[in-house]
Amino acid sequence: MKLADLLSEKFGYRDFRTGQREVIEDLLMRKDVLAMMPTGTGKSICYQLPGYIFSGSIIVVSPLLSLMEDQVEQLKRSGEKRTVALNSFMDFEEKKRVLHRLSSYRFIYVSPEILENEYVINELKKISVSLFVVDEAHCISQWGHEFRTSYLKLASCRSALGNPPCLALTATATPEVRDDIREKLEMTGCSMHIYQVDRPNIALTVEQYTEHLDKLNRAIGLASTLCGPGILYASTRSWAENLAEHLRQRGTHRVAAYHGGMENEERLLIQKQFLNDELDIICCTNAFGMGINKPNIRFVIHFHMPSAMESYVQEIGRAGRDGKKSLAVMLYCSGDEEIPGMFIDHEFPEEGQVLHCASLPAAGRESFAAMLERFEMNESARRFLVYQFEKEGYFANEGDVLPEDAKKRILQKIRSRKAQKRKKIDEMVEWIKGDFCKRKRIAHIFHEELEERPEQCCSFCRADIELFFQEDSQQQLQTEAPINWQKELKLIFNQESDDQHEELGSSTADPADERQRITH
Amino acid sequence: MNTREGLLLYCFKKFNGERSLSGILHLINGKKTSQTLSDGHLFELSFLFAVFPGLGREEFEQTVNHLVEAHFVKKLKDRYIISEEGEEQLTKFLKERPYIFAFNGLRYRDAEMPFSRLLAEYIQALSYSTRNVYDFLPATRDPVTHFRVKRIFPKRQERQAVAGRLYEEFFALLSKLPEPYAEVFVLKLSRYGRTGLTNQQAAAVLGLQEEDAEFNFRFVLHYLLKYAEGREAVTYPILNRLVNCLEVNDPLTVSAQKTWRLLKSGKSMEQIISIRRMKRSTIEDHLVEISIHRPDFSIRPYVSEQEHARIVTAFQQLQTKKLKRIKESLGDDISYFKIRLVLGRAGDRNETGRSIK
Repeated sequence: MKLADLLSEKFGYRDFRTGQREVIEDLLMRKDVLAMMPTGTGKSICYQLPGYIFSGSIIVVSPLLSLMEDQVEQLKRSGEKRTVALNSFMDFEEKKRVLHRLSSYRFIYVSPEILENEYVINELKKISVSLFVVDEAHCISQWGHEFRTSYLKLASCRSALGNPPCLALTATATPEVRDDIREKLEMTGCSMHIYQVDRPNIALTVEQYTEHLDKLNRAIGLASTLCGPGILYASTRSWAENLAEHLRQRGTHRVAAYHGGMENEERLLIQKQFLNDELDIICCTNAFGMGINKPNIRFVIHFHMPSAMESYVQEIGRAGRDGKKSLAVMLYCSGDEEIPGMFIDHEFPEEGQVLHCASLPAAGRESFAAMLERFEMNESARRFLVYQFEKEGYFANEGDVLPEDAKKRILQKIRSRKAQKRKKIDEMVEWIKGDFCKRKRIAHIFHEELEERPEQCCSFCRADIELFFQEDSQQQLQTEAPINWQKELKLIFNQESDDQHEELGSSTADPADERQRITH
Repeated sequence: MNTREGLLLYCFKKFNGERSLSGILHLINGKKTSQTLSDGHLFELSFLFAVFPGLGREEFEQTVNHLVEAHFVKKLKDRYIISEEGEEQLTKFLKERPYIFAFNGLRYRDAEMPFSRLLAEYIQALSYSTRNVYDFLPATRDPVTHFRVKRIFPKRQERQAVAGRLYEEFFALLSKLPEPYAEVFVLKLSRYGRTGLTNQQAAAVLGLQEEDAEFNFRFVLHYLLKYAEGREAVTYPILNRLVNCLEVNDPLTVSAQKTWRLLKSGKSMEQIISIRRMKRSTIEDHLVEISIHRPDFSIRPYVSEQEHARIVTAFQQLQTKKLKRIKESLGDDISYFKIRLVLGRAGDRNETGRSIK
């Protein structure tokens, strides 16, 4: 069967999108592949399609639980039942059940953390693995904006599984991060597929303010008059809530906040409402977005700047996945860079904490991690410290303190990593403030050549933001019907048909039937 | 008066100044310690265990101060007692919420979230599939819930009939409740054509405070659990089948369970202290917990018949549950531990039993 036929049979697409075919062909030749493709351009097809050609299972390492679940859900909805997600949140029984029938799955999604579990590795060794996929591969690089220490162990894991071909996927990675990915995953002779970071259908505008209040008013004004649906990014949970509240007060009702401080159930509801077009605007932190596949997002406003250009490009990349004209607005007020600056400090342990830990006789990795938790250290700082201490052989020599030179190395590492991250922020600020074409500059940062400029390019090239306003500013006058729970209950259980549908004389009042009729 | 104020008034009434503010806070925010559990039992307040999970001290004290300023509660030194005005308010509050005692924090605390996820997913799937629509995102991401729903979900040809019966069951149960409860409940569910609302959204639509909306929803969950597993379960067969998917769980703290296992294997209290390397007072806490929840546990090895009688007499004469006063009247040879064991046995029984998850 031809690849294109398989694509249409299994996924319902007629054509490959840029890069997909090339990546797949290389994989079929058992080559290691590093693919950089902008978000929303169908990266997952690159390994899902080969899943129907290879005889063994495909392991997909994915850093985020929600991302993993989204993909499993999507695959299952498209009819692929032989899909499973393995993560540490599963209860023991469930995990055991899955592990015992591993070989029956075509796609096995795993968190990097669960691959550190020896029992899991041993079970995986028993099955035949045709492809080892590392999604969001930039997480492996400490120069990447989302460094995850557990990614560093993936190479040894891959070799334990008999060295299947490896596909490393990322949306944004600078050349140095790409080198790092290849090196850390031991992808020798790997074939590279680098596709444009640039998204020509997204206009890039930047606005600078000196007064915070002016920026706030502008954000609220834009969000309520731009053509939606849209996303408003803020850097803190309270600001996400705040912006949603301001918008509600302005009469924009179909808006909700989304951030990591909310209950899982509530977050899922908000996400579903947005996907189903029941909400127009989401005010969120960077917790929102990964794995969200909503094609018709028309604008992304940054009320606060992210901490690196990589994050920025990823976040605005959520707009316009349907290819239609969309808008990214960066709102900057002098001093905004202090927030991400503060986050950097929390991401690493303080020097005093390092010295204190180093002076304690080693007593096992778990108790060490538990102790750090009592210090109220931020999670990424804890992960960093445990990893560094482990690398220096601290846990291998129980009862010993950390040697002087190791201590120095760790402190030096913290300093250089912080400096590196600050540089990223500086780069972001420079992009915001600089007098140059914003699009060209992004291409430059990611070492790309900009082939042509779209008509609505950026604020420097005088893109016209007016084009993105709602056509007739008919603010949805939402007169909420009073709640009648009896009627709601009928709708929930499909009981309304008796008194309503009969009047219409047929069952076509049910939109579901309507749809079926059209497709037949 | 909102739910938190009303229920706090109820606590003040029941505790009658015999426990500190912390005692109340730990009960209502669900700190599972032997002390809280035995207090809940002793003062017949177990049903309010974890009624406001995660409520912080600051916010709690604000509410208390508010009640004091409104003269619903009197402050005597460091103790709080309900005033006459407070009693009136409380009567009114309870009258507007006739089924409030169906809430059962001790029994359903661990069950409410799994039950809520199960309902959300099952009902959404039913709502879509009875319209022959299968392209929807599941309501939860919990594999355990997926598994449970899959196990009991009706076959294609039965779905409309099951939906009809479940509708009848919900209609019958929700009709008995005041409207705001039923309203929050239906709005929180996802159905074909509408995603469920968050607590905040439901509160906004109905003009309630967020905490009240959340309480109303959780209250309905407890109320449904009660009817779906209680004596009337036969009247609600579909709900009963849903509840039966959940697992039965032990009300003892995990640590007390370990102590109980050791006791049953014949170990003495002294041996347990040394085996578990725990403080005597901790093991004593466990024994008090066990005396409440394990009818087959005999307190006789720790309290003689004669001591038992003395404690009961003192308790009846003093008409207080304040351990200190009982202790003072009894003298040095009777320890707090003995008093708590006896009172644990004497407290109400109907609220205990196994909780489900």
